[in-house]
Amino acid sequence: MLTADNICFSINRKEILRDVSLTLAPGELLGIVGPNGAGKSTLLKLLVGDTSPTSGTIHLNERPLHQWDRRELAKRRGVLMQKSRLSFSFTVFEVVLMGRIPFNTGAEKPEDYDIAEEALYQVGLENFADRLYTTLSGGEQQRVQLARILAQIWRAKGGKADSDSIGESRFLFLDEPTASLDLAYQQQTLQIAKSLTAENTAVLAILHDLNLASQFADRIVMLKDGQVANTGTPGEVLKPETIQNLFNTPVFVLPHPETGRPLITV
Amino acid sequence: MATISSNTPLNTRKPILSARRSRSRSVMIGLVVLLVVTVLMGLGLGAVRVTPAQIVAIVLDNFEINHSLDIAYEARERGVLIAIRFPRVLLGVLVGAALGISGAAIQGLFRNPLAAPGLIGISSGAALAAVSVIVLGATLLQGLTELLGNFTLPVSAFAGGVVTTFIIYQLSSSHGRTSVVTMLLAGIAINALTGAVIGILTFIADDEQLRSLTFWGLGSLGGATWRSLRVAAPMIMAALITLPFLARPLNALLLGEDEAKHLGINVERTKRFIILWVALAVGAAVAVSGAIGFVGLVVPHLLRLTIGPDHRYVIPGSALLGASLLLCADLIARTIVVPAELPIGIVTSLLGGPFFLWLLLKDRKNHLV
Repeated sequence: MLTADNICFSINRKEILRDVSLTLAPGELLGIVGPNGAGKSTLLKLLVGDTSPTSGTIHLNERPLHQWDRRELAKRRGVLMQKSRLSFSFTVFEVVLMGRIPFNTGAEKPEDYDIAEEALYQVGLENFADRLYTTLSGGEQQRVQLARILAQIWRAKGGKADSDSIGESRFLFLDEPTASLDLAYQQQTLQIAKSLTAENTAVLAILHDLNLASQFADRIVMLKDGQVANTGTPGEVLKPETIQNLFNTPVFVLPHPETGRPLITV
Repeated sequence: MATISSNTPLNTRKPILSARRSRSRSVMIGLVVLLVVTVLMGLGLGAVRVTPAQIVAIVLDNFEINHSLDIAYEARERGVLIAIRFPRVLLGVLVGAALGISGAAIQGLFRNPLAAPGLIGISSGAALAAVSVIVLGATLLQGLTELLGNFTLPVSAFAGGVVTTFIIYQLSSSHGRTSVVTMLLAGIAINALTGAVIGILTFIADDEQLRSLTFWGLGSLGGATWRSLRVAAPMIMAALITLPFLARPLNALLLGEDEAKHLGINVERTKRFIILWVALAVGAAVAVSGAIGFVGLVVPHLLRLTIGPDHRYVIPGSALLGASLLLCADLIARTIVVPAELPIGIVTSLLGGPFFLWLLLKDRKNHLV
């Protein structure tokens, strides 16, 4: 369980976030939506501990975030950043294997290879294992990074508690995971994230596309000018007036013909 | 449970082979062999030729180890080998290894294949101190010269390099974080400043001092003695032993600093360690052999082109290859214009420059860095 209480963050007296409180429970996919500059990425940086809040507290499993041992944290939490800057020509497989760094000190164990291989299958890049990362397209690179994060928070097959020394809770943070992906891979990425929630992983995703948020999120937090504007299930918060308030653009909201979830269009 | 089930059962899938891994291991073995060969060449070739068998016999005799080898050698061969060739070759191995491994670590730290140890001010700081001692040793710095005697130049060069690196490090750190971009820029500024001061000192130097300056600036292993080896060896050895342990953190750092943190890496500690060990190793190397260019830049690059960027291989490989290349360069430097000796920096740059260009042009179309 991740709990943020009244977190504020300012840079040079400019307030970026004000009194943001939220919880992220195991088994749920929480979508963060909001216009550009609302403070979404800053919020994610605070929630993963890259930056400390000016005031307010963040707890992970009842323990203050900054008290966590960085390696223990890495064993149960993956963070997919928006843009990767890897410019050295590792192979795809080598990049995915790096997700196993928290779990061993020297060389990788055989199970690390198995996990990396599984993770590559999950994102559909099994035939790319020996390709050089630097030669891939932006979308492919993004999927490789996702595979790396999946390898990092991998759960032992069979899910026995004793074979799984990390315990139950896993956390996955995604900063606009679908930004450079085409339609099919946007769906695939969020489907993978969603499937992780079925195993009790808590997923927090910053999402640009309201329809993806509507389709996959269990709950949505709407962020505007550094404050939480609304929070609730997609059906509760994705309404014409709230969305118009958020983006200053009039929209239509229709029920999805199959799922009944809100479908937003301008 | 595993995450979503994929459609293909595991056992029917094509195994993912890591051809690179096995090639890396072969390359490492090859590099060890290469180093042994270059060491034997460095010991054996020159005005006095000594065969590998004679080298073995001389070493065994020197340590008074009983052996049944029936190999003849003359006292002159033994004298040359023990007093001149051995310290020179060992120093070449250490300096080459220090420059190679430091280049690999610095390029990883800056996430830039074109970075070199000189970027963090070690070389320029050492050069400034060395030039100061050469030009002002008899006048302004007389007290220092009297205090340190023959060690004035190496000790000053080492101190100058380490102090300059420390200044650049301090300039680029705030609130316990070090910005590598600021470090790069601060390094450029400090390098320019030291260059200007060196220029002033060169301007006021007399002819004899100018000659010393030139030789120092181009580097040479000619000053190698058992004593200079004892000065440089501990610091270089410490770096050679420690830096390989930072290979995995360096790999993670290539993903980005935040990404490395999310993998549980203590990023700030890794950065501090790398800067510390590189400053000590290169400071010691420059102190005993002058400024030798291009080894730190080319060697890691060459390795990445053959085995990829995994620091677990690039770091030790750069030490091995750096040592071999410097020994070859030294062999050329001391045999090509016999009985005179060419400064080794001329050889490394003369060979390294065109070679580096060739690499760049050959792989211009690929993203091979």
